[in-house]
Amino acid sequence: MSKGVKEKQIGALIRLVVNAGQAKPAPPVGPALGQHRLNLMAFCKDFNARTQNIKPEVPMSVTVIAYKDNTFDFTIKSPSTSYFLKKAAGIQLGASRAAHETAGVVTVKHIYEIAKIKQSDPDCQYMSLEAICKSIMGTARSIGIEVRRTLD
Amino acid sequence: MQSSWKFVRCTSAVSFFCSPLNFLAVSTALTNINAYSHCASSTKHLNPPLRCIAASLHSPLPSSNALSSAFPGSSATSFLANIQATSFFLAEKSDTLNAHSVLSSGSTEIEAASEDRKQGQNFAEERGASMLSVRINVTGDIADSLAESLMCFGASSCSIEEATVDEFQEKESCITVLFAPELDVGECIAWAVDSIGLREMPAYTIEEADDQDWIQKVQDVFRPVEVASGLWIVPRWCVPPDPAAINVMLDPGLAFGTGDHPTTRLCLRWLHQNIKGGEHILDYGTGSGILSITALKIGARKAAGVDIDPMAISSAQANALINNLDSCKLQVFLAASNEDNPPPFERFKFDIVVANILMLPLLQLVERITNYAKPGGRVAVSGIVTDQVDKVVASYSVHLENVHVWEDDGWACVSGTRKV
Repeated sequence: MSKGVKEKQIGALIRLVVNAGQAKPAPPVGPALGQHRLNLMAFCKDFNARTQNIKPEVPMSVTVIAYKDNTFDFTIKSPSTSYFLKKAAGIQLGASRAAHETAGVVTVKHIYEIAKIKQSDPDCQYMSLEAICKSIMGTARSIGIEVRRTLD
Repeated sequence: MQSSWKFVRCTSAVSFFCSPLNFLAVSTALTNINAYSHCASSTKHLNPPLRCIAASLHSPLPSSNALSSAFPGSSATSFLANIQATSFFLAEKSDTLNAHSVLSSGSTEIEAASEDRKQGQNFAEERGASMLSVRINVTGDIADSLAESLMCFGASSCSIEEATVDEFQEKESCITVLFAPELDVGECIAWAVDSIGLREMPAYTIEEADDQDWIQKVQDVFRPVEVASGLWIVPRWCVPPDPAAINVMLDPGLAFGTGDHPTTRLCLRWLHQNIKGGEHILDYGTGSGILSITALKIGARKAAGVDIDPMAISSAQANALINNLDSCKLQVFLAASNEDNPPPFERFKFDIVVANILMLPLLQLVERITNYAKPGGRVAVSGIVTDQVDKVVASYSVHLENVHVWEDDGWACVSGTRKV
């Protein structure tokens, strides 16, 4: 370790969902980050600036690492797989009994496109595209979305 | 028995879908995936599988064009053509944020909040029930999965505090979860705990999150800061460290602009260099009013501020009063975030225009922002990260000359002179 570089102590790990470009110092961002004395305005400005290339109102998962000296880092991930699937199927909510009823339908092409978006996620970069597709289909099954080859 | 299959990768999605032969080959390959979908997939990094009720995320799903074309029965290729153009996910600057425009003219100046009321109180009174805060104690290794799972089942945010070691030498973490007031907390926690396979419910306590608490903590972060030599931004409740310098007293409440963000510093330094005395300033996206008020204190004659957030308007007015600037020195206007009403300012009126917002509004409003400046007037825009500089420079160079880029800590400010 070079001289003068101190390892920062982690205070807390905070997970949030914020709409792209719409971080404000109001709940849920406010209480979640304010409790740890983080600079809310800096986070909102930073997050909004970095999500300018994404449509507003797309919910992004954010993980904030708060250090004990009240500084923080954060990473922005793409929205959840279930969000993409629900949007692709055109539904608002998944099925209430997933194995027994179908809430919506997507095609394999949708799965492919969603996998392409997910591939740029930091967590998925080591996975092959087919592994990501399998994973997405598992999620689809668990929220009651049927996967078909075509829509007719 | 798993048969081997090839996954056909195509370089261009368009060719992939236009060629029927290709599609058939891929679809037969991909149908084999279906057989494996019930295997436990390692979705630790994607969301954990939702076994029963799928929670809808709190943010409402937008009804965009992509949604309607995704209904079964419409052609899948049209939906995918949309995706291929990435309008489903990524924004094209022409169709997203609506431009800000000012409400009808006349007396749109908002009454300043009385100085006794803290901005935080304004905010808390306007909201309804406050959020519920739940603290759950779990062992350290499952805290992460439980937090992810809670997010899927409706929590607004999860915060894992550092692990401590209890008497059994096991790391224990405390997760603080925030829920919206109308949710059934017990049910959400039960689903989350069940979905990660925990046998027993961990102990948890529910309480109402106190709004004043976090608002107060946010305001405590604010300290006096010296942005340029002889120019300090000081919280209203602090004593100025250098009484002889120009001190701008601020109580920003929850509006943006405390002086310590790099973009605010960039704009303040630019103003410090460019104000000679007697100018008429426009501050687009005024927030707490910090840029206008500092400009007035440095020597400008009059300032006008615009913002789309009513809290910013009241904050700016209150701060003007704190600095003994009355309403003829600083006028603030509330803008609507749609294109309807044209603003009440005349064109070519201001000597200096400064706008510290975000890239998308800056690109959408480029004509409006630059048209407010006199020919030969100075314009500065900020709120952009260094990756976004090129787009902004390209867009603003149409109307400005002598374009210069200033950078500080990953943020940038673009300035120029209005073309004659």
